[in-house]
Amino acid sequence: MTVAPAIPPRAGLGLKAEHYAEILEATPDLGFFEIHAENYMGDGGPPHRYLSAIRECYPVSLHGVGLSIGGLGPLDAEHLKRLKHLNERYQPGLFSEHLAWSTHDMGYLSDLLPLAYTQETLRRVCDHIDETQSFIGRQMLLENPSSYLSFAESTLSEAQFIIEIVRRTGCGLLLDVNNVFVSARNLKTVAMAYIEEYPLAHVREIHLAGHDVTADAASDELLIDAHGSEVAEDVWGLYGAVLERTGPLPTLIERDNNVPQFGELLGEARRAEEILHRLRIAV
Amino acid sequence: MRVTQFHQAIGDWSMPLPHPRMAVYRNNVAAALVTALKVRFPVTEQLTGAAFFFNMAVEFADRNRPASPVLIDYGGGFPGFIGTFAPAESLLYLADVAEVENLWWLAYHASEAAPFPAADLGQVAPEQLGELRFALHPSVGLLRSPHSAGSIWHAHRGGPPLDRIDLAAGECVMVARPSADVEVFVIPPSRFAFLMALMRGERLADSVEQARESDPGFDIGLELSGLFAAGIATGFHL
Repeated sequence: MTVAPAIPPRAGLGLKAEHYAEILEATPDLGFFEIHAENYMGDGGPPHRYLSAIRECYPVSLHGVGLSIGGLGPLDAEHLKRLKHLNERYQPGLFSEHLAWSTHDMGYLSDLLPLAYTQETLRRVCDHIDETQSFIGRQMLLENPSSYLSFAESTLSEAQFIIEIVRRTGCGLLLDVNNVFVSARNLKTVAMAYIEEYPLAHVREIHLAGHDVTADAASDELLIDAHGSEVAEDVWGLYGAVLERTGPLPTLIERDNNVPQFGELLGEARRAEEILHRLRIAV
Repeated sequence: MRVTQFHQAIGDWSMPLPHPRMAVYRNNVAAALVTALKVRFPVTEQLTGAAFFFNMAVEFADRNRPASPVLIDYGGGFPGFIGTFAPAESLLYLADVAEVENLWWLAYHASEAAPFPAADLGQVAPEQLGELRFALHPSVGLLRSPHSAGSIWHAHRGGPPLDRIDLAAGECVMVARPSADVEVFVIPPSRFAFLMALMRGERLADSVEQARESDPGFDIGLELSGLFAAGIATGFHL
């Protein structure tokens, strides 16, 4: 395990403990596996043993959920060290984190919380990304959030905010197509308009996931980025529209709740692979 | 929705929501913590049922926010909380079964360490053997329970059924992951006392003495070969 193999423009799956043995037994034809960094921050044991074995057979991408890039205070130096260590140990082909915050004076808030898009938050996010990239010694990808509300203080659109981040920090982007869809429905905006405004040239990876359709207390439709079901048809449609503009990109199918049999996830990965394949032929 | 309102209401779950949509974020925060506890304490959830466990977990999460984003470290205080959780009072053994799961989880994520071969002890002069202090594998965890916490745990993980267990009998439990997988053993009180003393860094002679308080026939030769066979002795020094 010396040089990080690039993540190919193919479909990948999130690595789940319940599938470790089956993956090593069957070694299915997949582009890559993605891991949640925080799940591999233990000292040893089966998680590292299996990940090391899987990393011998597949490229791996590293996806953090707890760095709090959008946090008010400084980044957690200990957490940065843990992320650097994982990057060094497993040499992931891509490393990503979220445009969100999760630190609070009450402790860590276990969610990806939303930011107001202002010049002030932009400076802070860029400082944190600069610090992360220079400390870990590589480019990071930034993932767009799923939104349930917007802040009165925002003076920039989310896409403008992200354009400016890329320009100032040189980070890459992880475009979560389901998040784009969920946010647009919840904020009553147009998903394709977001895609048209978004700096697609900097996207290095795509995430696809299922969402729940529910209602808020005012009986307004509310989509929740729940990662507990299949990718919705509309999201597959939006994914195709994105790929027409970007060309083939590494595409992760995320399923973190109600995790089904491995074969079912493989089926969704195959569907992404077919779309990617058709695109290659068309090109 | 203003940013300051959001900041106040996301931390304090007793505050009224300033916006109906904020419920999603508050639910997500709670759900992630409850899920972390469900993953770490699956047998406890089986024993209480899902709805009871959920309420207990939410109460714990409301009072115990994680200090770090590494959620595999979250929930070490849950067994202690269960011991003080009034609605669970009638399940006398619940907190101790949760502690077995806690030790299992710590063993699962513990660092690696290679056992040393028993033959290495041959370098030690016989008269010095009693002076030895042992290092045990980092995954080793011990529990003495007034209940059959180890057998109840096994019964829910494919072991012998509960109706064959004397629920009121006390048990000593050792959890370890000397090689690939975590194992849970019910051990005699003398071995528990012996291993506890070794883990505290006490001399072999003193550790044996403590074991003999509960079992005068404690056989040191047999116990040491057991320690090596289990692969949990990782070092020694004089």
